Amino acid sequence: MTSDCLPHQVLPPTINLEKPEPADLPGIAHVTVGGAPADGRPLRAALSNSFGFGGVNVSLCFARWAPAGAPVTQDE
Amino acid sequence: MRFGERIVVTGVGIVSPLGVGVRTVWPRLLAGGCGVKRLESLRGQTSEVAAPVPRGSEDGEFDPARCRLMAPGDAQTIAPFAQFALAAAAEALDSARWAPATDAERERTGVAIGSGIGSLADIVDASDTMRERGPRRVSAYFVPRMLVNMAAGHVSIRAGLRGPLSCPATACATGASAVSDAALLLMSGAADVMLAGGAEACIEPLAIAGFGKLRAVSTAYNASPERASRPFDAGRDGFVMGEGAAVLVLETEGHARRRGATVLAELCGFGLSADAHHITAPPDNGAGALRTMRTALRMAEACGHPFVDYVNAHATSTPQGDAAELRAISALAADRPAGSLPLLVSATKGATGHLLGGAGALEAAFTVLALHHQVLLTLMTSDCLPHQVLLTLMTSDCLHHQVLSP
Repeated sequence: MTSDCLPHQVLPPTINLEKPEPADLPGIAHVTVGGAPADGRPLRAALSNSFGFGGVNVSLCFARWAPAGAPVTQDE
Repeated sequence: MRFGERIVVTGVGIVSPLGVGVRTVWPRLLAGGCGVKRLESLRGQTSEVAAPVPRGSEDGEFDPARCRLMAPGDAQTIAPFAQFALAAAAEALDSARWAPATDAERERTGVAIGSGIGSLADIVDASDTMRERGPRRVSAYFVPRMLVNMAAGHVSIRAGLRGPLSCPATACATGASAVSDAALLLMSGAADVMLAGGAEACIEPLAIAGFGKLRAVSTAYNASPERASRPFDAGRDGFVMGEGAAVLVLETEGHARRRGATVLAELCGFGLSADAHHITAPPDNGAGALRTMRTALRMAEACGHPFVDYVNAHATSTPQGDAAELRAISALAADRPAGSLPLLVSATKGATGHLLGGAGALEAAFTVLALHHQVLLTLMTSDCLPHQVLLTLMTSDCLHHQVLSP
C-alpha cells in the first residue's frame, strides 16, 4: 500500500498521548494514530463510554451493519 | 437488544471544535487535528484554553445563515447551544434522507436532545441586567433562551417533529443518555424514528471558574493549547472545555428497511448505572464503569454481537477519571477468553476538548463513523483509488454503492 492507495483510516486517535499512565495495563492497546487497526483486524462492535458528575455511567454498544445472514467471525 | 426490533443508526450530524459537518470533522479527526485554542475571553482565568466551534462563512464553519432549520433573527431568540443542535439535526436528517412530511410520519418521529448546563451565558447576562438596571429590563427571551430543554424544543419545532420530546440532563453523560433514552422509546413502540443527541455552549468565564475550583480543568498548558487535552497521558492535568452538538438519527430496523434507508451501524446494546459514591469522583477501580460496560456487552451478545474490538473512552484528561476508566477497560478485557486480541482504546477529547452534555453524542457519532467506514473499506479491499477520491467518498454520506460498481 502506498499513500495513493486505500487509506485505512478507520479509528480516531488519542492525540497527545506520549506516556500512558497507568502504564502496562493488560488487555489494552492505545490507538495514537488514526487509521485501521495495526493488527489488521476487522471492527465488529465498539463501546462508547460516557460518565458524569453525580456518578452517572452510560456505555453504548454499536455494531457494524452486516447484511442479513452474514457470518460473525470468531476472535482471531 | 430485544423487546422490539433492532435499532439502527441512519444519520449523523456534527457541530464541533474540529468544524461543522461530518465531511469536515471526520478527516480532521483521523488526521490527528486539534480544536483547542488559547482564548482572549478567558485571559486571567486559571485555564485560558478551550475548544470553540469555528464560526464563519467558510465551508466547515458554523454559519446560522447556512442552516436550513434556522431563520434570520434566530441569534436573538435562540441560545448558541440550541443553534448548534439545530445545525447538527439538519445534517443528521439530511444524511438519513428522512424528511417526514405526512402527519403520521411527523407524529412517529421524536427528539431526545439534552444539554448539561443550558445557556449559562444568558443567566450571567440577565443577572447583570437585573442588578444594574432592575427586573423590568430582563429580556423576554431570557427564559426560553436559557432553558436546558430548548435545544430539543427548537429542533422539534423547526423540523416539525411531533413524536416524543425529551431532554436528559446527566452532566457529561447527557449525549449518551439521550441515545439510550431514544432507543428505549423506539423499543417500546412510542416512535419509529428518534433524533438523539446533546448540545453545549458553555465556554464562559463563570463555567471555567467553577470547574477550575473543582480542579477539573487543565491549567498547565496555557502556552501550548494544542497539548492541553491529553487523555491517558502521564502529563494530563484536567479537561479542556469544548462546545458543539451532535445528533444521531435512530430508527427501528423495520422502518429503515421499509423506506430503503442506508444503515450506518446498529445500536446493539447499552449499559446504564450509577456509582452511588461521590458527587464528582468515580471509585478508583472504575467499578461503575466496568459494570455498565458489562451490561452493554450482555445486551449486545444477546443481539448476536459477542465481539467488541474498540472502546471510545470517556477519558476527559483528568488524572483520576482516566485512570479509573482504563482499569475498568482492562478488567473488561480480562473477561474475554485467553488469547484474545487487546481491546483497542482511544479518546477523542484530545482533539475536541470536552463538550460536556454534547460529548456522549459526539463520541457515539465517531464510533458509528468508525464502524461504518470499516464496512466500506472491507468491501473495497482490492481496489486502489486515488487518495483524494477516497477521502471524498469516505466522507460523503451515502457512498459505497457508487464505489462498488466498477
